[in-house]
Amino acid sequence: MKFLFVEDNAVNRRVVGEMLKAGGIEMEEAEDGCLGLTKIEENNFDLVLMDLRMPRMDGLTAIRRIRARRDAKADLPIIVITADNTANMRADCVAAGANDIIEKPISMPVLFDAISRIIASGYGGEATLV
Amino acid sequence: MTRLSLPIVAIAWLLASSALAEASAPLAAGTFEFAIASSKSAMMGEPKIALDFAQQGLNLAKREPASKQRSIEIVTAQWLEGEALVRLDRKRDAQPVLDEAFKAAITTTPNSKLHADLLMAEGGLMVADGRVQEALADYQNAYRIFGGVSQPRGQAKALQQIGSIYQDAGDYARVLRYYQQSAELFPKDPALLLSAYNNTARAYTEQKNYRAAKDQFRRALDIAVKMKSPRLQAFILSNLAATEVDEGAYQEAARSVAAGLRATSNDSGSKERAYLLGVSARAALKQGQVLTAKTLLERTFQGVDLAKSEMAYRDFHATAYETYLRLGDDHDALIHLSALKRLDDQAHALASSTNSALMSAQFDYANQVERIDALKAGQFKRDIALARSRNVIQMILLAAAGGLMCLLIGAFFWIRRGRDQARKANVLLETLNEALQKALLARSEFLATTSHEIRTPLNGILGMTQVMLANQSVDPVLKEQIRLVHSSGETMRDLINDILDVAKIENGKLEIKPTTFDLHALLGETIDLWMDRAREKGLELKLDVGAAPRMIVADVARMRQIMANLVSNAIKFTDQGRVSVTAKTERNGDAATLVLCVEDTGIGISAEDTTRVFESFGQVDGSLTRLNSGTGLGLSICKSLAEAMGGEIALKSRMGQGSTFTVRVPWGKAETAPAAPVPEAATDFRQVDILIVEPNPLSQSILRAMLDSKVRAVETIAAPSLAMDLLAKRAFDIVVVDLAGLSTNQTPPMEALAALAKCDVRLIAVLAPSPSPDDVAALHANGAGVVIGKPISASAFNAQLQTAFIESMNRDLETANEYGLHRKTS
Repeated sequence: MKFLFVEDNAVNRRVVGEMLKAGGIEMEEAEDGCLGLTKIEENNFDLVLMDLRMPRMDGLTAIRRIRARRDAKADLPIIVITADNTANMRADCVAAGANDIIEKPISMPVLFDAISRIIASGYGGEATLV
Repeated sequence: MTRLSLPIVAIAWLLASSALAEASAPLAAGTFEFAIASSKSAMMGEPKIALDFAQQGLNLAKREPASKQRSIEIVTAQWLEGEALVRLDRKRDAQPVLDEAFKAAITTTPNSKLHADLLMAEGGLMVADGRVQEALADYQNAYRIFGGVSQPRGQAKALQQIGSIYQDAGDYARVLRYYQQSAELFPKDPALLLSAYNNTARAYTEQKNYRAAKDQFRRALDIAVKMKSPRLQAFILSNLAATEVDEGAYQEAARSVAAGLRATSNDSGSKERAYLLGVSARAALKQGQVLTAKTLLERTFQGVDLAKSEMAYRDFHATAYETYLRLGDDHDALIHLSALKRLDDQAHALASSTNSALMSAQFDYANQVERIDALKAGQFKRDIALARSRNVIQMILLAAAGGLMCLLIGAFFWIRRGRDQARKANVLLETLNEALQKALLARSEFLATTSHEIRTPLNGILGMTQVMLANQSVDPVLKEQIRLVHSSGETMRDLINDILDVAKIENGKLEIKPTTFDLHALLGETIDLWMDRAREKGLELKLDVGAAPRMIVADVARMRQIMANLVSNAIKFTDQGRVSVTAKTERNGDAATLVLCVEDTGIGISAEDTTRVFESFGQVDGSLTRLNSGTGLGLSICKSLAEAMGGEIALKSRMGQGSTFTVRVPWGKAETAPAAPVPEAATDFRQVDILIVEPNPLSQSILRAMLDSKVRAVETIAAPSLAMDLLAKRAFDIVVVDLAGLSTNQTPPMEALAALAKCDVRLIAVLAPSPSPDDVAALHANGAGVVIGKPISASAFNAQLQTAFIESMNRDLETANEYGLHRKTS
């Protein structure tokens, strides 16, 4: 499986990359919403992890753009990873079309649980057990 | 829009020149006094010469016999040497000289004017170095010392420097205050006053209060005229004109520019002329005269290296960018745009570093609290005195009832005076209270910002240690060490979360999110979390939830936080006996209250401390803080959380006999029916216990998510050997094992599988990546009940596992029927 992580902080990208590697998942990275959208255009990802506060294009806008697509990629599972875990922000994320929200600092079990829930529920078509 | 401030160095020059005026008695050449006076007089125009004289003075002073006088002279000479070096832009050389002088000043002449002068010089160096917080401390100290030795001029100078720091931070309200204060404090020095007016005007312009800004600029201009300084006049006029352009008063601006150019007609190369031309260019551009603007700009930037221009040129770059863009000259537009960006980046970096430094400088709340307390005590005393004097007066009045009118009138004024004093004290108290509130707010903001910032690097620490801990190939000894790093990181994260909570509470930003949850499960989990710690200390940890409902509506996360804090607190302060947690409900008319008690047999808290424990940073005994790590925020947070949920927290305690914390919160009854134990299962699959043997933590998690809601219990474990240990203690119906997980073991995969198959398990399911028929046969031969090929979707996996389980059940039943036996199911 291949995931995309859209996040401007390089350390966070590395951390999540290592976590996913421990789970046997390949990860591509993008530094902001714009680059994220380009990567999604060019690749077939199984899931997208999205930070919210980023330069150029923030996470919520990027999620809305993904959901507004007219192809199958509009249904990509998206997990928001944010330090801004307020009720308002959660409501915004859900409204934009995020499937799940997890809080920073990122905890491996929490990340894996969120991924597992999406895969186990078969979201985004035939997500599979690797 | 940036306006030009009188640069600090320029102001200092002016000050030095006026300082010289104080000490210009005729002096004999070759003496120390002459060298010092000459150095001071040369400081403004010829710092190189000032340096020579300062060094000469230093040598002369050093030749004198040791005395206090000699030390002071050395420090004075060093101060001037340092100043001169700063002016010559040799900050590196200036630093050690000033440091040495400073050290000597503290011992030989502490709290003197010289000491304060040195602090000011140091402050200037710090600002140049970007060390704003230290600079601020230097200026504040200097202000204090100047005050102590009755040097209002020095005080005014210090206030201006502080004001200029706030100007960099963009806090114009404070800028205004500091400059006004400085102008009021010492109106005699024209240079000081001029810079106060100019910079006040700048602050007004930033706030778009053009009328007040122009008024201040005109006052500054008057002084510049009186000082007979054409360059200063031109400088002020360029600022005034820029403000007029902002306002759209182009004719006025043109007049100001013309006056400025006239003033500097003898000095065609001066920077001030360039500024004036830049301002006219902006006016021309705003009026659509693009070509005029271009011509003016060319003259503005004449001889200026566009890649290294100073902050003063910022606005002119902006004007130039727009002008060239309109003229379609993209090349030149781009050059100015990059200059603009460079300067803006600089300004932004300066403002943000200055801001954070100022934020922490304002973090002086402890002092504020103390001052308020003292004031409150003072107020109380005054109240008593007032009441007493009133009693006295009443007695006098009674005695004078006979008709002593004059006494009556006197007494009347006496009362009025007492009241006035009390009123004045009240006003002061209010002002200080307001200041305290602001300080507290600044503190919470500071706490919130910094703790948020600290959490970011913690991501890296906690994330990476988690990855290392999940790695099967890491040596166990090393793993233990990493675990220590990880748990320390977690402790740090918890402390930061505590601090963030306090900040949120103080700012009223705490959110309460009621949801339906299982109270019994929540309390059970909390107790489980602390069971090991209690056992280590030999304590009994009990839970009684019999009298409380199971499903309730409340903020589950906050409830968990309160209980975790109270239980950990109880264990922390109890050395023998027990800690018991009870939950029950109370009814008071329509309101239902949930009552949670945490009772311990610990050290207890004295009556006078029972309220203090709920204050922030209020651990009762300082020594306990050292023994029992913690921020001392836990109980204060519990109280705020309970109150935010509409409840309260109370403490009953006796020294040496233990404490009882009681939390009362209103609760809502869950609307939905409780998630009752699943009724009679459609198939027995719902009652099976499954053990997952899987080294990959993500696969573990996915398998758990797939099976959790379908079966009774799911356990996960990383290695087959560990699975064997667990199976020896506990029975499972199904073991799901990944072929890759079997291979990681030292023993060959098939042997490991065979060993697993020997345990008391109904079904072993092996997950294998696209297995060949031969593989499947080999796996079956070694005990696999079913082989499930990967990749596979969640639904298909569930279906295959369930089918295999039911088949194995049926096979067993057939066997049992055949032999008339009955095998136990789990």
